[in-house]
Amino acid sequence: MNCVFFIVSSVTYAMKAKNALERHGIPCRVEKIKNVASLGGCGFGIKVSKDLLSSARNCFYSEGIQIAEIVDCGAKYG
Amino acid sequence: MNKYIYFDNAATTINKPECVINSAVFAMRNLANPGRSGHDLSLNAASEIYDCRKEVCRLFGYDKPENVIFTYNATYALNIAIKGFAKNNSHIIISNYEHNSVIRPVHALASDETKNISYSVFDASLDESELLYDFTSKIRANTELAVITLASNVCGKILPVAKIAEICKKKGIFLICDAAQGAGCVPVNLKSLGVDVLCFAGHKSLYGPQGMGGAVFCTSRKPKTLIEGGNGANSANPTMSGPLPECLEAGTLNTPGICALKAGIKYISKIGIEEIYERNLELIDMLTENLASIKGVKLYGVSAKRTPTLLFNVKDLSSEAVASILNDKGICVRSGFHCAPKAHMQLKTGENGAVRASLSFTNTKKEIDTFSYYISRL
Repeated sequence: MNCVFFIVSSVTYAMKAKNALERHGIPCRVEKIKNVASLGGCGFGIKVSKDLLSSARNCFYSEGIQIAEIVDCGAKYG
Repeated sequence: MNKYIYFDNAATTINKPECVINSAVFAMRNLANPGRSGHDLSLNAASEIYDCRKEVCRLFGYDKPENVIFTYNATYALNIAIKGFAKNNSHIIISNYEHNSVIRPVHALASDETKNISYSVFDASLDESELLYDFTSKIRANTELAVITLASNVCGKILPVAKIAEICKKKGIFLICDAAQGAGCVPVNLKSLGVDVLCFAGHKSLYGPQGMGGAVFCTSRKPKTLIEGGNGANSANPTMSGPLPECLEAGTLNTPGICALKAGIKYISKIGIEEIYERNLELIDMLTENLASIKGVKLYGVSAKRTPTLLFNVKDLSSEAVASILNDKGICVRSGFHCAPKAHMQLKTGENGAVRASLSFTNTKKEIDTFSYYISRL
């Protein structure tokens, strides 16, 4: 699948990340992610096209949004 | 149209705008539990709640929506902040104009012998320079925390919180502000106010529903948790870890209340807090002038900078008797001590407390004239 999830620790940070991406014109979608190793449980992922991975990462950096990890969509959907 | 003259807005505002009611109804019909599930209705709820956090930030001139937590009321938010940040073997400063929402948690901490916490009370009734001097005189080597109201719920006096915050910054004292009365009717900019935590009630001048409150954390410090439970994050971890706001929001949030609060804040923001403050001042000045001219009326703690709240007694009537007579005329006020015994003691209202008339910008001059007429007939 040609997308990645930026994993954040809570739904609030997921919404913050979504707001930031939308302000930067980057399409995205929030989904719940089970068993995120770095979080020790559930987390939320902001799904972004792989083509926009770099732009999204820069956006999060400039907005001070901490990302727990980035996973390929295939890891969720199999 | 409400048949009552409602002068008890410091307790809670009524006649909520339609947008507030509609938002609560919309949430109850359409929004699921935020942060728990991955379906649209849960995520839509989370989005609405995040929007409310943004709206709170916009109102208070702050830029970190994730540092806004929602609680059931200002008391709950104050307990989280006070008990979460108070350190053992330390000293706390509060004012004599604090509500029991501050006095009682601070007293509870001081009553726990294992904590070795003490507290001092400064006189908020003084003029600004004397007040600041009195505050400073209470600082000890181990003073770690101060808790100050933005505005008295008893007489409406607005305290010089920004100047107290300057002193606290210099002395390394953590400052919590109780804005239960000021939020929504006193302009607040958190970047210039300088407090570390601001606690607010959602159901008073912010026009949200009862059962809503919250706090804004302007600090990178995280308090100890008061309540633990599920928050939809880090479920495998048995502790309430993780960042704000979820680490302080155990259990299901009041989503309809939060959506309604968002609508309430938008409603007052559209009018403008400066405009509301000026309208309120005009109304309370008129009421003050009217009552001051009535023989036998005693006013307490009238200040130039204040919320639209007036405290008074009439002749030798008890405050309960006055409130009861007014209720029979369809006028709602609050009598007694208003959960702020130290303020009443300072203002010397006596063993029966006093009558509090607390207005809103939605009240009218005609209502004030009617009210004044009935007081003059007592």
